[in-house]
Amino acid sequence: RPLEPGFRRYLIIFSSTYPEFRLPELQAVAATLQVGLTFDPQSYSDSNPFLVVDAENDETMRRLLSRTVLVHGAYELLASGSSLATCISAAQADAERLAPYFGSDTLTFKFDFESFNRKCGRTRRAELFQALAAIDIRGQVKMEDPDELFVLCEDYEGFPIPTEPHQVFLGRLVAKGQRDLAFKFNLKKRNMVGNTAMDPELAFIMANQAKIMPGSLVLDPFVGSASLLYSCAHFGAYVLGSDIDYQTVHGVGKTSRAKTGSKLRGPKENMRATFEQYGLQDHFLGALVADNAKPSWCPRPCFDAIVTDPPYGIREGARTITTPSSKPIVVGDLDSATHFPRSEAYEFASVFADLLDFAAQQLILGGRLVFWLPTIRDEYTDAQLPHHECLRLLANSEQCLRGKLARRLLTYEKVAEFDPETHGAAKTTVQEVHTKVFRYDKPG
Amino acid sequence: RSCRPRMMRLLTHNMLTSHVKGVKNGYPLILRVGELVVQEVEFNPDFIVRMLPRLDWPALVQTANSIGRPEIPAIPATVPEQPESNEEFLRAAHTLLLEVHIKEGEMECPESHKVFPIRNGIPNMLLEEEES
Repeated sequence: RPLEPGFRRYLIIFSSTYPEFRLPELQAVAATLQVGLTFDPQSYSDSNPFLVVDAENDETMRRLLSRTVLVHGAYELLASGSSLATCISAAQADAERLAPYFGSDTLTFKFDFESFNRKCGRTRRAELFQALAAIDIRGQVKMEDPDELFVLCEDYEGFPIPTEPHQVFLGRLVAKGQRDLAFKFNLKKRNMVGNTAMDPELAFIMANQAKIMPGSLVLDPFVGSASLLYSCAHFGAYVLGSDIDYQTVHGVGKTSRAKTGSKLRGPKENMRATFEQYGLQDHFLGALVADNAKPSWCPRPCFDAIVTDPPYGIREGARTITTPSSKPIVVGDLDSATHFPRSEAYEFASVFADLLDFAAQQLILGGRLVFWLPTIRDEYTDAQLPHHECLRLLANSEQCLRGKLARRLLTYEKVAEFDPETHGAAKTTVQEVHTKVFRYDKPG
Repeated sequence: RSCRPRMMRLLTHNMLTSHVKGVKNGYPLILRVGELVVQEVEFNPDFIVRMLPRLDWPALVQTANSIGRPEIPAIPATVPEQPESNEEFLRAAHTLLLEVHIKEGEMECPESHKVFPIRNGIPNMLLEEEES
């Protein structure tokens, strides 16, 4: 593939987690940062962590990797080949271009060896070192803090595992991705978690899909323990949440934490304390107790993104408000006099139809809706996806859950202004499939 | 800077409306303030500029005037020309929209008079079945 003028070629190495989300995340981040990035989709498969891309310069790659959680690292591609020998001869043949790295006497460097699908043992490392000796590298080896970190990557994809790699890359480290964020936002160390708190890595993928920028206004209408909003706030968004569950929004009632010595939530088990824990309190605009079936937001475009994980009854049943019961639900310690309307199971299909309608109305033009749709793996077809004329589907990635269950992360962009006269309800065909499998929890 | 809990702001109030069934003029909600606190929030002029076109400015002015507390900064009746280069204006809008926190109070639908309570900084927008 010829390189466009003004572009350089880079090797991206993805992490092994969530393969189907890699390209959508990378493309969403490139779109968010308005960065030109080209690659041949035919050259990539989810079974292999390598992707060769063309971008303007190192700075472009650093900006991209300041946001991606599924990229391990990006390397300038110095040489590549279908075997070790061809990769080395490609580097020898390109000595003029590689002179800044290999031709300088004062440059310090270190070599790393990476291999996919096969362990790179001591014998192989010795072979690699020997092969590298054929390249005239003038600089000094330095193990700690070298000027450049070079990498030799071997790809042994296939079954049975081949004895020789079928792709070899020689690269120069440009940037590392944001793999550490999953540790910083680890659920085990988080003040408040809910039963359905999102894995932090997925929460960051969602924020990237949502094209979050500093100063974005973001809503999660099924906020729960706010696990999707910390990632958005980390990327500079101002966030709002709403939920029908009074106790969750107020951070009172039963805890989802085991072994705390109490069955009730502690003083820090609330979303405000959790935003403070991460130093993001200035980006938390607050939360409401509200029913997304009957939104209380002014019907005008105001949000840059709606990022949410609607309830669908596996662990948390969907609920909406129904007739007041003779036995009102009374919430304990906070204000026992408050009367709470009873809630009932919220029809599965209605949750998604309402959500698309709501997003079509509330998002600014170009704003994004990102959410999970549960599916049954064998029965899924694209026809089950909810549809709205004002929203265009941009990405659809499956995550397998247990058994036949899966969920799909859907990314929509608002592409047309909402007109209440012409745009009625969103069309959805998900209902029939799901009422068979998904259990609706009776509200407590 | 202290990390005190964040409450409902006037930015949120400006975006909420009464959704009681059959109500035609449910906006803006009449805000009655019990307890109000002013907490410092990092000034981000770009965010305020981004929000200006999404606000109902007359409703914000009306609500700010109705609160009648010394903590409420004065804001002009209309958004000035070129607000992005008017730091004094942006700081006042920042304080009003983000630093004024409503801890206790209520919001009333101007037409149906349904009251939405604000407890511990969190509005409760739930309706009874017959209201929705």
